[in-house]
Amino acid sequence: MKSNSLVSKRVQAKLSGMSPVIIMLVVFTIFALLNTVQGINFLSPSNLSTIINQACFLIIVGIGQSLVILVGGINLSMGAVMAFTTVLWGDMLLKDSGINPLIPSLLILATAALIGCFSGLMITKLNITPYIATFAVMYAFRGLAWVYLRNRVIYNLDKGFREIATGRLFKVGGFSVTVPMLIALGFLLFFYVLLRHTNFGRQLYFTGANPTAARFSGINTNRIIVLAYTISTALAGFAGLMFMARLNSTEPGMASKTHFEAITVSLIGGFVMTGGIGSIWGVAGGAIVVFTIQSGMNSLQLPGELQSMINGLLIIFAVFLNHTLANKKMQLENDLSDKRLKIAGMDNVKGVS
Amino acid sequence: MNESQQPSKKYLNWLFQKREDNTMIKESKKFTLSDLPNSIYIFLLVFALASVLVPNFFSPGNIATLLTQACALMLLSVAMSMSLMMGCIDLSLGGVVSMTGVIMAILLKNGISAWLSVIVGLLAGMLFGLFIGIVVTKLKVPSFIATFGAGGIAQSLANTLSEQRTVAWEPSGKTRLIDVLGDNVFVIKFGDSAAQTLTFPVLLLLTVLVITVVLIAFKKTNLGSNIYALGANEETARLAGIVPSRWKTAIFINSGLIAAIASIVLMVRTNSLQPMIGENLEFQAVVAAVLGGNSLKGGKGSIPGAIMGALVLYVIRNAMSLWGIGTSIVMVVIGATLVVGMIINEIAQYIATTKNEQLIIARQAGRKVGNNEK
Repeated sequence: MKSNSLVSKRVQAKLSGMSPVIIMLVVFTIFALLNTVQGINFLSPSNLSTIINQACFLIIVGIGQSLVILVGGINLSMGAVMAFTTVLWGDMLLKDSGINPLIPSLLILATAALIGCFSGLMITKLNITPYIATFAVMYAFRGLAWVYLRNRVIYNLDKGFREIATGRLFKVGGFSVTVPMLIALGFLLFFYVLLRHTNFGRQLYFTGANPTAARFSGINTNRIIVLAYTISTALAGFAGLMFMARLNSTEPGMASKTHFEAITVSLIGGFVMTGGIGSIWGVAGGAIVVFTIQSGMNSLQLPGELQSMINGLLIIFAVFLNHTLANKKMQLENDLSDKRLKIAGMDNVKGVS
Repeated sequence: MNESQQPSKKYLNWLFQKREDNTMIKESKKFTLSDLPNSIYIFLLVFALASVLVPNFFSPGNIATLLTQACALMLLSVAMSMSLMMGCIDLSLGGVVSMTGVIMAILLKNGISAWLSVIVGLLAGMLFGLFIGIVVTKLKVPSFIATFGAGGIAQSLANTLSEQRTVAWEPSGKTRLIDVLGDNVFVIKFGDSAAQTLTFPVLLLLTVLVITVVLIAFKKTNLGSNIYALGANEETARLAGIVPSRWKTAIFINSGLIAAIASIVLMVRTNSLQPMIGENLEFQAVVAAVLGGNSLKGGKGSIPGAIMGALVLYVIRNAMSLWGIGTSIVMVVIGATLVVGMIINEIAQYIATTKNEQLIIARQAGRKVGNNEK
């Protein structure tokens, strides 16, 4: 290792910071190879666009979950909120309701945000662990959704509204760009800017990394945490809209595993449960990994029962890899800064870092 | 407050005359109401409400049914509360219940003797626990994620092995053990109807036995103190000579074993096992343990509390189904109970800490007075 030049170390440090990309490439290669052996063109533009199109929904939920994981919490209520809000206002989105779909959409987002605010307040004011608080919210609102709708299913939605999940814009050589892709990209860009280039984003990272230090340096950590849960659950509401538009229906039992998928996505994407670490682009990588595996296994005609096994192994492996690479990156960066000091002739000066 | 304490002090002085210096320590071991797990109040409240409001709830037959139904969850909440106390969480419990159950059911279906299949099932649970332990301690994956992933793996194994179909077996001479487990220890008839018959199933006896063994091990050996120490501060515990990796692995193996026992409890009555049987059981166990005063941050809580928490859940479910209320409202009520229970726990803890502080202040004052008198 000692003979390594500065440049190669820098490259290594950069690579170590991109574990989601590495996982994504590995998964893509494995499935592309396996499928090529079977004589299926896995990497065809149309297949890629299908995978990315499906992943968009998961990207939005994943962003929501990541925000909460960033402040050291967890949001188990996402699926239940999706079901409850869409069931509550879904009747207004029906084809023959004659109401502008924008109104129920906004109502759904507002209700979701309100529920998120409620769980945030429970966590900060009543001092209930996030896991338990959001679990209680999940149970209660899933139950309320069943109570409200009974055994009915809301079906046949407004055409214009369904565009947000089914709309296609244009085709580039077999790769069709769809509305969900644009929406997901918009969200990714927005949250990238929010997390990296605004005060609020820095405060989120700081609160997650060390709540006590953040509080002592004048950040209203309670407000930050409540806001994180509010935004997260509002995003779940938006994902609910897309889910409903794609299926053209909604029912109280929908999206029963979404919170798990969201956690999987953000963990593969490099977020750490203790908070304070992670980049929003990892979420996109994680979502694409999950759907690559799903679509790859479907095209190989493997049984669906194996899916959750592979997901389980993948989570353990991804978290292990993220952890190891993060340590390595830190070590390399320390080495690099030592070397830089040496070049500057300051290595003998104590107290400079 | 001081006045009310005096008679007891006199009594204790009389009782421990030879060891006067130790009176303070003995006094602090005196039983107080706050020594009980908080969930016992929630349990008593829910139980009293159900007995008063719901007809047929407070009958021997129904209470026996309730306890028998709660067996599996009581066992799982014991395992869950032990891992929570140590600062870990075991989300694989549900998956392991399904997996070990399917393994045992398939063995029984193929005519292998019940003893052997039960032993294989228990070993499978322990092996899976060992796997989780290695992932947590050697690969340094946080227990939440490791067990979350492992639970998915176990559930998927169960689905694959059983091809997503219920596995049933014919009772025969070889499955006598299972028949015995499904039997009753005794039946007392207060009347002719089923509600007036008090039964004591072998399953309940088995559950009580397992819980007693765990509790004795917890109180009488260094298991309990080590778990608390690891949960409160792993680094301090390590410096005090407790090997965290060994204890963590042991707890996960224990969880796997208890999950296997729970799956036996779930399958003996019907002579069959459905592969999705363990679904969501781990969450119910977490809810039970948390209602029982366990914290997800580790280092506090108790096993009896978790068992009480499990009983609270089943009392609610049983009472509401007797009342003819749909399962959807039960979900809402359980969610609300969880929040209320957490708030009660928080208040009880606040009272306990302030009381403790007052007690310490009072004692210090008492000591000073005593010194002056001498």
